[in-house]
Amino acid sequence: MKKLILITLLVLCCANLRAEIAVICNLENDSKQMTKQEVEEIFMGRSHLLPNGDFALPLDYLDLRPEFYNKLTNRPIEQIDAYWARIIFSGQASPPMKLQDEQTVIKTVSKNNGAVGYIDSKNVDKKLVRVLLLLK
Amino acid sequence: MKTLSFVKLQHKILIYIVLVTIILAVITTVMSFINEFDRSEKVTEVMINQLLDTVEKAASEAIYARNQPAANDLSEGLLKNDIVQSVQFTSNQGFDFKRVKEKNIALEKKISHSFYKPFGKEIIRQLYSPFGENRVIGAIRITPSAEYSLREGKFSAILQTLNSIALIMVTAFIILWVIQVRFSTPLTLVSNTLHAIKKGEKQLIPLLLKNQNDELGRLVVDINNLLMFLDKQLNDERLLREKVEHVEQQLRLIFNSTSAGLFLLDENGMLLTSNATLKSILKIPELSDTALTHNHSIESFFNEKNQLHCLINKALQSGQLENQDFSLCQDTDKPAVWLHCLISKVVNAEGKTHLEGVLFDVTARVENEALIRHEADHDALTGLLRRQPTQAAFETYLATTEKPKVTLFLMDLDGFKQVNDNYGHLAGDKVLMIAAQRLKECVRETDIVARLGGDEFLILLINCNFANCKVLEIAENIVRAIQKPMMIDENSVVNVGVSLGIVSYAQAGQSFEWLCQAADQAMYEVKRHGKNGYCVYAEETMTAILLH
Repeated sequence: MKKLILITLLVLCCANLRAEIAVICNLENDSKQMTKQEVEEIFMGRSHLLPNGDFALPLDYLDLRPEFYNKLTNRPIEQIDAYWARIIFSGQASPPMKLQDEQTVIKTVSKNNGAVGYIDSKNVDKKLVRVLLLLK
Repeated sequence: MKTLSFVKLQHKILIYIVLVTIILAVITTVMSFINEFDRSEKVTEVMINQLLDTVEKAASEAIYARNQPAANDLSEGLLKNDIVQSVQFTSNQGFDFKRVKEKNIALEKKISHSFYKPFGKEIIRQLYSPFGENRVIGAIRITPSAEYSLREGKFSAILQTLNSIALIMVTAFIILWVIQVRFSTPLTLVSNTLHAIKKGEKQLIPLLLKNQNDELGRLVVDINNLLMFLDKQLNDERLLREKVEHVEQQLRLIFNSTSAGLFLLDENGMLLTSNATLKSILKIPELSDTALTHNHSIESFFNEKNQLHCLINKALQSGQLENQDFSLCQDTDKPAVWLHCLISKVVNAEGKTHLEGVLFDVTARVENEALIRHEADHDALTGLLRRQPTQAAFETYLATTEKPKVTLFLMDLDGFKQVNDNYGHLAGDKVLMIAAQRLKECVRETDIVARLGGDEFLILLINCNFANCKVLEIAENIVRAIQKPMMIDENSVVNVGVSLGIVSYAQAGQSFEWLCQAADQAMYEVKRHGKNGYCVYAEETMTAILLH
């Protein structure tokens, strides 16, 4: 029993250590750092504008998607998907575009002024993107 | 005075119970309406909250995403519920949305006039962000439907009211039935029976079998006891009254038919009442108007008025029965009537003193007594006084007279024995009768002539002595009168003489006896000298004077 608890704790610690996600944006974006709520509202379709007034283009990175939403909203990915399903059904909004690979995310962010994405914080290249928020 | 109309007990109870039932029903109705409206309001609130629970998540997502179609769909869905009147979404980021059900003007008018106003109680549910921390992003406001609350409340209230009324009615009817069967019917029976019983009629109330062991049963038993007691009392009274009437009748018969006159006097001797016989006893004619009532003194009917007055006073003083004979005062040509009167004092219940009296006719007895006395006092043959009453008369005279003057003649017939022997006793009797007649004729009416026995006679000259009377002349007249021939029958004539002794009452102490002895001595002196003469008594020498 004690072993089980210990293993669980270890796994959690490791996961925390490993899963630091960086929310990134275009270098041109002169927005200062964004709050967790601002990021959440952009990714959940509530807000379409960045703090500097540019139209926001949120991008999902499939590999980190469950972890990202979990850290951002404290909800499992299934609920997020269900939410989007209802929103899409009403035809009022669309979910962030889903990208397969981290490099594509970085590339898209660096090429679009309003783009907001997320990648593993270890892979951030400060020459290409700017970090808006770090999700631990 | 206004007479109160009779209301049956059962009707009264019915009225009371109906009244109580109505009051209870009204109270119950009002209470249940208030309760039910209150309850339906709460129910509505709970239901709306449940609805809100159902839509909360969708609503918060719609608000979060500012998704108007979604909010619209939710509103439509909510408004389909009867209890929802209006739905409003508000967001703290400029998203505002309201949907209202079509208004029912007639209903609103009706509600605004009723005492119950189920408006304005808006139910607000805060909406939280579906993601991240619990932060408020807006609210959903629902106004409950008044129509629904009212209808629901009314329905429940009416149902509950009907329920209670039914229960109250059933209870009331059961109570009424119990009262009717157990109390009011037997009570009515008792009352009606008692009411129908006529006074003095022997009748009882039937016993109540169902109420034997309660107050009603006891009441019946008590009433019956009282009735029996009353009946017995009345019966006793009736018997007593009959008895008294009988006795009274007998007494009245006695009072009226008795031969005695009965009367009642006041203290002054005035008549108060009398019986019928008194009238006939007092010789008042049957048809006379003289009524024997007040203002009639009993004394006025008698000759001896003073004596009767005295008798009345005596009776009043002694308190005992007093009696005396009185003669009735009436015309002189009628025979004397003697009445015996008994009087005694009575004090009646009011403390007044009266005199009761009895009068009865004793004329026959009085006359008889007079006759007997006359016979006792007088010699049967000659009708002259005997010696005893003569002595009494003499003594009475002495006692009643201040200066008595009396002269005594004592006489003895001479030759009477020869007449008796020769002609017989009848002739002797005849001689005595003639001699007596002649003696009477020789003296005054007031003088007393007596026969002492045999041929001996005595005369008392009242108020007469030698000083004021011609005593000797009278004596001589007597001697000469007796000497005259006497016709004893048609054929025979006899001659007798008389010896007469004279003595006058001279001083006190001289008794009748002494006078007789003195006269006898004087008479003896005459006889000694040859009879037919008189002699005055003297103590020493007496001289007889002979007349031939």
